[in-house]
Amino acid sequence: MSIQDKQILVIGGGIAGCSTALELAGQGAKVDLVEKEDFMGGHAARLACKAIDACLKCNSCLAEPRLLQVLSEPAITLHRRATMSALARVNGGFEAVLHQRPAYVDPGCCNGCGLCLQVCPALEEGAIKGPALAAELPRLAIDPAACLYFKDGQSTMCRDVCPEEAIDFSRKPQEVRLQAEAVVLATGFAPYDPAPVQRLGYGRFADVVTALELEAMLREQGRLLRPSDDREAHKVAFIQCVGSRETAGNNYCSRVCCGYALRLGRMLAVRLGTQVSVFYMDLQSFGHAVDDFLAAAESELRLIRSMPYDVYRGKESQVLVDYQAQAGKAPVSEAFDLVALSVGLAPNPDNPGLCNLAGLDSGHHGFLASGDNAGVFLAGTAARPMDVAETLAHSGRAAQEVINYLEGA
Amino acid sequence: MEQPAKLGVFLCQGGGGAADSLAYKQLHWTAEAGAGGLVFDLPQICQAEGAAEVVRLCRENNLQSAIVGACPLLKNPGTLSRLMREAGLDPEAAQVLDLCQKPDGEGTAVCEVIPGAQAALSQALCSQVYTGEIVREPRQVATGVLVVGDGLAALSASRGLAQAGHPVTLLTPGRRLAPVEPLLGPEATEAAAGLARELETEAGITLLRQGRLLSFSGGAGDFRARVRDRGGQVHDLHLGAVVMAQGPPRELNLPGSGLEDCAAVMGLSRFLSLLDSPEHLKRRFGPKPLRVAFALGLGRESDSLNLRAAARAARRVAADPKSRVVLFTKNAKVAGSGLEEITQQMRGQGVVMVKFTSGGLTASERAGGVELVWDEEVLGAKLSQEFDVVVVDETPAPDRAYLELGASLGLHPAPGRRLQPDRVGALPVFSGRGGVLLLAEARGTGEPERWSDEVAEALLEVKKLLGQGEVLAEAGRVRVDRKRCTICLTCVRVCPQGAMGRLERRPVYNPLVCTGCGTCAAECPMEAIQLSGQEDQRYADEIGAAAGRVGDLGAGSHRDLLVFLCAQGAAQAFKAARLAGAPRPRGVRLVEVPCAGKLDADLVLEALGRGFSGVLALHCHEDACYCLAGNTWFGYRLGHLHELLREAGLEPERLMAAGVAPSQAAEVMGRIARAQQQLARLGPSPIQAGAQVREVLSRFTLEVDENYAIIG
Repeated sequence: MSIQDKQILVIGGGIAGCSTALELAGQGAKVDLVEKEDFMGGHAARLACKAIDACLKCNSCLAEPRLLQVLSEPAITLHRRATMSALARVNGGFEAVLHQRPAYVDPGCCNGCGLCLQVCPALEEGAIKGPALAAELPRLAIDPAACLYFKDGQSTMCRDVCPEEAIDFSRKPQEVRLQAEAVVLATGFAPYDPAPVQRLGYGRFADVVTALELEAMLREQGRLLRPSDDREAHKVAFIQCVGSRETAGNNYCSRVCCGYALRLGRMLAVRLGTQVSVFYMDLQSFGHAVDDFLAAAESELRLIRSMPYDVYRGKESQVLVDYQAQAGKAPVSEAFDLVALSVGLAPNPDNPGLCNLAGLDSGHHGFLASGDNAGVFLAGTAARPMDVAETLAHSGRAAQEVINYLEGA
Repeated sequence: MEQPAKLGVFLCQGGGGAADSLAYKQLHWTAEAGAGGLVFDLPQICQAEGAAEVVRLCRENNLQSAIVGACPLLKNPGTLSRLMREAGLDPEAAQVLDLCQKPDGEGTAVCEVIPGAQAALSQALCSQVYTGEIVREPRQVATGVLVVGDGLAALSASRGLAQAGHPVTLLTPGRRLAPVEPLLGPEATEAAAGLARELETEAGITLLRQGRLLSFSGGAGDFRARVRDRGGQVHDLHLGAVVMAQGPPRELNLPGSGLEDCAAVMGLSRFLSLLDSPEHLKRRFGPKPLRVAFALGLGRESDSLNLRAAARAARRVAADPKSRVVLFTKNAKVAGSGLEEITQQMRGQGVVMVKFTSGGLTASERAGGVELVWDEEVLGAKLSQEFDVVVVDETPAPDRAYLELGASLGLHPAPGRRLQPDRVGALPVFSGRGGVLLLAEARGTGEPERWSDEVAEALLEVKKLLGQGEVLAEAGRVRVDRKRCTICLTCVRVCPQGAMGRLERRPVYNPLVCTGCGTCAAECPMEAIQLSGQEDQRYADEIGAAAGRVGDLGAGSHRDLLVFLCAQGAAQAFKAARLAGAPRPRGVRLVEVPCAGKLDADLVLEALGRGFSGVLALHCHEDACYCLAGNTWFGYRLGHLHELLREAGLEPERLMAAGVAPSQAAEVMGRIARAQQQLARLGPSPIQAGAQVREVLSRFTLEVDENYAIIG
């Protein structure tokens, strides 16, 4: 039996899911690719290029062409805004039920003119969102959690102003039934949420952001502005190991944070002239010439081996960071314009539910483990923390496993 | 050249906003002239109905190709190409041009024609002539695969390839398959040993122990290799692909530490072996409890493979409560599965972990041991302790033989102790020679856990490359003019993929691995190489069309700038910026090239010669080229071009270049704006002034041909 024209279900429209889907489609399979958000791309579509003049090998640009290719690949059917609500084994294959949220903005009509953005009273709260990949269709999506219409039933400014009559609040969720010969779970990670850790100040001060948010800002604006007052941030601190290497809880290293933080730091220091400090425990090895990279980082950045124990609001709206500069000496308070928390890759909170649906055992630290459940495979950070390049290899492996499974069957 | 039959131009009237403007009418006239009258004005192409109308008209008029001028909103890869496909038309036949946009800052659904639309349309019309003749045809390829290596990755790749039906030749540098590698741990060792037993009886695998690669030539799908085995017998192999999975030898990580000659120092591998044989251990250190210091990262940065091995050894020693174990690390490399937990458990077992800074750990030899002195950060004091042995980590250190093996496979060993430079385009398993895959330790990636992913990925890549011995491959993309070619073989040397080979002494391209970057065409000193559909003349014509009436536009506050965009990177970023609503910069012309590798010095000079005030080349960042090294070659040309401009009396600053990644939408617009500021400082090009003088002059002179007939 070959994979030709076989129907494969891939859950997760991030770089792992997209890359697996492309590999399978390239081998002749038909793929249903399911994404729970309004837009494709996942976290990889929000990463920023960290090149100075030379590329620093952050590998974020590996994602771009693959994500764009998925949008136009005829053998891949995209199901946005959908989650899997049931998965059953039928005749040696699978039948999946998807719950699909309605598209309040009709992709066939919306031309992205942006009039709705101008009238939306809840834009700040994120009622209307745009995609990370500009080539996506629809160009805009309404988030019912923030949209006022879903609270008062009257706020229809966007609908009224839309010249294409693309907005319709009366659309209902749908149930989609799909047949599949094999299932690939590429549901990715969740960035660690630092809000519950009071001392880090996240969620309390606008100028304490996660490094992933900082990446998204850099990608969109090409410069670094403080969220509180839109002024240029000249002095930035990165705090490493937030949500990683905990003695209890997430007691694993997330593998990617040293790499992204030091690259972001070098890029900010060299290209924007930002003063960058990095608070760390241990610097991990990444990339080929790690000795050269760290030597360069040491000359361009201030690397401080100390974990800050308090982050709070200082005078002139700066953020103060308290840390022990030297063992046995008094602690130091230092002011920064912006503090970025290098959050780790935490397991997707959907994992327990997915384990249940797919009949998998939970793996280490809440990530998914490929058990002996024939026909279900894992791709990318759903399985363990990994960077973009590792994810591509892992996705190739998932595709290869699907092929072996179907050809052996 | 003739116009291809049946070209239609569809112009979007921008929701009625553009239809009455002079710019739109000019656009219409240009289209009429270029497309022989087949021009369709549609009210709003960005809508689904609009796109459907385009498809309907294409079918009705039996059009072979179409240029669709609309706002970038139509550039959504979905609608139009889907409709084209559904209607049985080739989606590639419709070229969508970015010709209109919303007026600045106005929130309206109504569009206007962008500045420079007419030139963009002229460019598209003249490039229509160059349709290219690339066909796809079945091609026979060799299915044999040479796997180099003796470890876990090489063995599992061999098995996978043999199972997929490839005749596999496994070349091992030593006599043994799966030699003992204590550093990798018992699980990996056992897995490798199991595979080795399996492979020895596997029919599809030819084992060449202690093999030496005598020669290696050809290209992907058709490599020729000559290998001598241990017995001196020579084997000639016909191969489709090569999988290089052999890691470099390792050395003790001591350089620069001051411990190089210390007798009490040993590597992790040796210490782990000693632990496995208690007699040897006792003979070496005597019966008393062991005092062991592990020191990781004394010379170069260590890695997680070594930390895992050190933790394994430390825990075994610490099992004796009377022993003393201290693990010194510069940076604890815990970035491996479960390693953080393992080190936490290790410390729970009584192993003391001490972090030192560069130069913060010194050693002096004592009778029967070594004394280590380090700065204790918490106490703020220097501490010292005596140990029986200092166990250090082992880092990859390619020797000459290893690098020569890499070089003979056509790789270009990098200064960073690797077989090839670290290039984004070569991830996850590619090398700088198409058909040669690099994985696991040969790549320098992490731990066995990741190697199995790379092996699977490599199997998939081999399958894509070779199929079952016949693949559908393109032909005719790279054309070598036999009359011009002097067989200097520059093309063979410069091709970033190793896709240029020789057939009967003449250069010929290998479509299996060619990415169409055009570096060969640009570097050929005889101009003997052309890319089908992307001939030099096409770009010269495009530049000419883009130049149009340069003087008109240069007269205002904006200076004319020609921007060359790499199709893979900068062009994507520009499209994304336009889609996100960035206005099209005024006074700018765009020419898209497949890769900076194709951007010939001639094209840059052509643009400046046409009177453009400046040229901006936007390519991928160094080491991030999608075609591996097209931008590197352009970089060499850039230096040369600057010299030429200086010589010609033109400011070299008029030629600018910058790296842009496809995600850098903001950056691409910023670069263009900065280039325009630079040109504003420099003023219009003297060549442009010259052109204007000629134009003025032409009003007073009658041009005559050689028969003294008045022209015009």
